[in-house]
Formats: sequence, C-alpha cells, structure tokens
Amino acid sequence: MKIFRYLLIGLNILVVGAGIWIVSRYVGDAGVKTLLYWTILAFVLLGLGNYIYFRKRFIDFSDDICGCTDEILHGNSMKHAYNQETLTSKMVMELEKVEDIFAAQLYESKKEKQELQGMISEMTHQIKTPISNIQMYCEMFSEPDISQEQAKQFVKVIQQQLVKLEFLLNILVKSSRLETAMINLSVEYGRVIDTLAIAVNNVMQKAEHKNVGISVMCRSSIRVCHDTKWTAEAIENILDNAIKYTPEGGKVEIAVETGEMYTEIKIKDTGRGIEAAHINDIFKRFYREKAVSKTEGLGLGLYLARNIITLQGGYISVHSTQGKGSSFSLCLPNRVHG
Amino acid sequence: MNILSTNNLTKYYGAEPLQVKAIDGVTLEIEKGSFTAIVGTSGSGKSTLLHLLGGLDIPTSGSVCVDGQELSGLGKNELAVFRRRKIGFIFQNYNLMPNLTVYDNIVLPVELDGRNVDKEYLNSIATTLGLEDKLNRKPNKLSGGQQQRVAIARALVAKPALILADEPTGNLDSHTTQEVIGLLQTTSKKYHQTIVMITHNDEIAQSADRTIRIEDGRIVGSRW
Repeated sequence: MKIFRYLLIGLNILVVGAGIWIVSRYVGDAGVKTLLYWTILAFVLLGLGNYIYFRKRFIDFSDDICGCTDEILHGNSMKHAYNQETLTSKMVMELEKVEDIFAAQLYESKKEKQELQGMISEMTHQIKTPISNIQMYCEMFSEPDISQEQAKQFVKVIQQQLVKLEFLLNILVKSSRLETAMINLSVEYGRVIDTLAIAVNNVMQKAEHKNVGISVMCRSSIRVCHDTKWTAEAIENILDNAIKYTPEGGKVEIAVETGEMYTEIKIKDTGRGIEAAHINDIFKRFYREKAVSKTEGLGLGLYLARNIITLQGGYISVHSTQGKGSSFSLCLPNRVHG
Repeated sequence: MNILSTNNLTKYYGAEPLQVKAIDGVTLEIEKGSFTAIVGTSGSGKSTLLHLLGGLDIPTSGSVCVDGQELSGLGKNELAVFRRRKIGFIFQNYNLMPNLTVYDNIVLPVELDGRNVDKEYLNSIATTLGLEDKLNRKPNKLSGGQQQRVAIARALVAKPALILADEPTGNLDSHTTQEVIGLLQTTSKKYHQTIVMITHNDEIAQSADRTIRIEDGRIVGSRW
C-alpha cells in the first residue's frame, strides 16, 4: 500500500508541475495566464481540502473505535452505538462479541484452575497415605527380631502400597500431560481397526479377568483422520469404564459406522447405566457417581477421553438406561479442513 | 447471565369470539451459552414463540429482551441490523435464495452487513457439513438434507451470539441428526453461543441443558 501512496503523491506533483509548465510555455496572453494559474491553485487547494477532510474523518473514526474499545474493556455498555448501519456500530458490535467470547473463555479457564487446585490437594492427600504406610513398615522391618513370616507379610503390604502409588502417579502423569497441552496430536489418515486393536489389547486382560466379553464390528476399510495413539487412549478409557461397571458375564460391544460427516465408534455395555440426571456430569473432571465411589478411579478417564476427541474436532455422546447399560459414541470428523 | 428473557409474552390472532391464543403468557429466561430444547405437539405455539424471540414477529403484549436489548424498543431498520449481527436463524423450510449459489446463500448475512467473510471458518463448517464440493451449485440441485445443512451453515457463519433453530434436523436421518447436533454444540462451546432449538427428537431433547415443554401456548414443563 505504501508504494501507492508515493505513486499518488508523485502523480499529483507531476500533474500540477506539468500544468504550470504548459501554461508558462504555451499561453501568451498574461491575463489568461494568471487566470489559469489561479485555476491550478484552486484545484490544488481543493485537493488538499479533500485530503484533510477525509484524513480528519478517518482519524475521528479510529479515535471513536479506540474510545469504544476502552469502554468495552471497562465493561461499560455501548448501547448508543448499537444497530446502526455505520462502520463504528459494526466495529463496536464485533468487538463486543470478541470480548464476550474471551470473557467466557477466561471464566472457563478460571474454573479449570480451581478444579486443578482441588485436584492437587486431593492427590497429595491420596499419595500421603501409602507413603506413610511404606515408611511405617520399613521401620518395622529394621527391627532385629522379626520372623520370616512377618517379613513376608510386610513385603506384601509394601508391594500393595507401591501398586497404589503407581496407579496414582499414572493418573497424575496423564493429567499433567493434558494440562500442559502436551497432547501433541499428529493427525493422519489411518485405519480405525488398528486403533481399536491397540485399545482392546490393553484392556483384554481386565476383561478376561472379569469374564466380560468384548466384540468388535468394524470393516477394515474404514479410515479416518485421527491420532492413533491418543484416540486409542480415549477408547481405552471408555472401555475401561465399561468393563469396570459391567457385572461378570456381561458384554461390551464395539461397532464402527461411517456417517456423512462423522465416523462413529460406538461402545455399548450391559453395565449399571448412568442416572439420567447425571448424564452431563460424567465428563467433568473428578466427577464420580456417588454409588460407585468405592470402585477405584479418580474420575479423569472420561474427561481425558472427551478432551482427546474434542481436540480432533469430534464429539462424544452418551445414551444410557439405568440398570440396562450405557452406550458411548465417539465421533470423529471424516474430513478435516486444512 | 441471561441472554434471552421474556415477560408475560402473548401473541393472539383474530378478534374475540374466534381468537386464537398462539402464545399465552410466556415468561422465561435463557442463560448465555446454554442449549435449550423446546418441545411440544404441533400447533402448540413453538414456532410462533421462536419467531417472537428472534424479533421476526411482533407480540400482542409482553416483551422480549435479547442480550440486554428490548426488541420492542428498536425501529424496523435497527431491528433488522440487530438480528443480522446477533441472531442466527435456521428455518424449518430452509428459506434459501433459489437464484443464489450455495456459497452466496451461506455468506448472505455477513455480506448484507458489509463485513468480510471469515473464509477459514466458512471452509471448516462447509467441510464438516459435507458441502465443500457443492458451494457453486444452486440450492434446488441439492437434496432436502443438503439444503438443510446449507441453512445451518448460513446461521453459523456470522458467529451469532444466539442461534434459533426451528427443527434443524427435521429432514436428516437419525445419524446425520446426531452429527449436526454435535457440530452445533462444538461451535457453540467455542464461540460461547446460545442455542434455542425446537425439536421432536427425544434424543436431542435429552442431550440439551434444558428442555421446555409447550402446550397451547403456555409453558407446561421445564427441566434442567
């Protein structure tokens, strides 16, 4: 744009200069000459006047916008500038919209921070117990007169506590990766069945242990743009939940279907189901249904799963009938823009 | 904070002996960023209510307040500008312009306002809705479901604070319905938009933050 500006200035000077030169060279009559000079001067002044006028309007406009921005920043209503067909009105309403979106995001992140603080204190609390247990048993170990039998028992207890610690640490690691946005999604076209295989393999042992059957219905040709590792993690978390809350001898069915916009991975279990009133809560961080608070878990699995899917432009939906089972649909977009 | 509130809203048609009370004393408040489903039998006044909320119809009495702005306090032109900038409408019968291409239909509300189209956003919606290769066609060359999706894209492209949808999935199969709802919820979260949707679909009503049931022009039930 700058080059246009110089070009325009140059052109103006050239035209005026040429005008003066032509008049001085070719016009003989002094009276006509003066008249023409005056005409040129009038045009120059007119041009300058126009320039100053529009420049002033432009500055007024930007001053107006800056003033409005300040007002919006201070949270004052800009009602007088609403709903007009003017540039200012358009800008003000657009700015207010942006402010509104940012305010909402700010609120969300504040809420998240609070949750996080709650989680940290919860975690430290939970980690303290096994550590003090281990400490205690270690001290007992160092006493000289313990029997072989007692030693074995102590080791067993310490091992149990270590397992608990490891479980807690794993959750911490996962959630910290999530918090620090370390979910670096590398999205690629890949076969859904491969991703499913990873997830199912990881929970197979648990399922067999509990005698819960897992069936997979997925055409091997279905491909979708997704991050294999993280999507597998999300599926695994949901499968894990499904197995956890399905009684022995139950079934977990996985079915994959391609829709017009999204590819749906449906995970259906015959578990205890979710109360309708809490169906929107289950994805919240640290949410645990009261009736299952004894089962191990921290309430992070579904939260993590939803984040992973949302980051890939998809969504999760749930249908559930209490006592009959739940079905989770993980939907990933078929087409990814850009 | 409420984005939408009505106070004793009524809409009557005709004169006394044969008067039809389409909306009969509706008072409601809708919170910013929420997803509300309006359900009810046909003829219960759902669509009339939605039109009143969006300033497309003038109430017989009572008031509608959108984002702190009393709709009755606006002149005709002001109301048009207000609607264009604040509200996205998805009509039951799409209301697409037959002589414009799909692309021009989608960007119409933004271009009417003399704003620049957020091309990147437009492309991403069109891609998700499966319309990216149909942008140059005329609406009458598309199926009902595709036209509905054009109407949805048109309502979303200006990133309005409030989206009013009159059975936006009426012509879509159950699978695509779920997908469209998913898309609406995803964008509304991203841009802090409020959705008010008329629906006959129980599943959608279930996934909403709130369901309002209307019978004979009155709110007969509300669930959070």
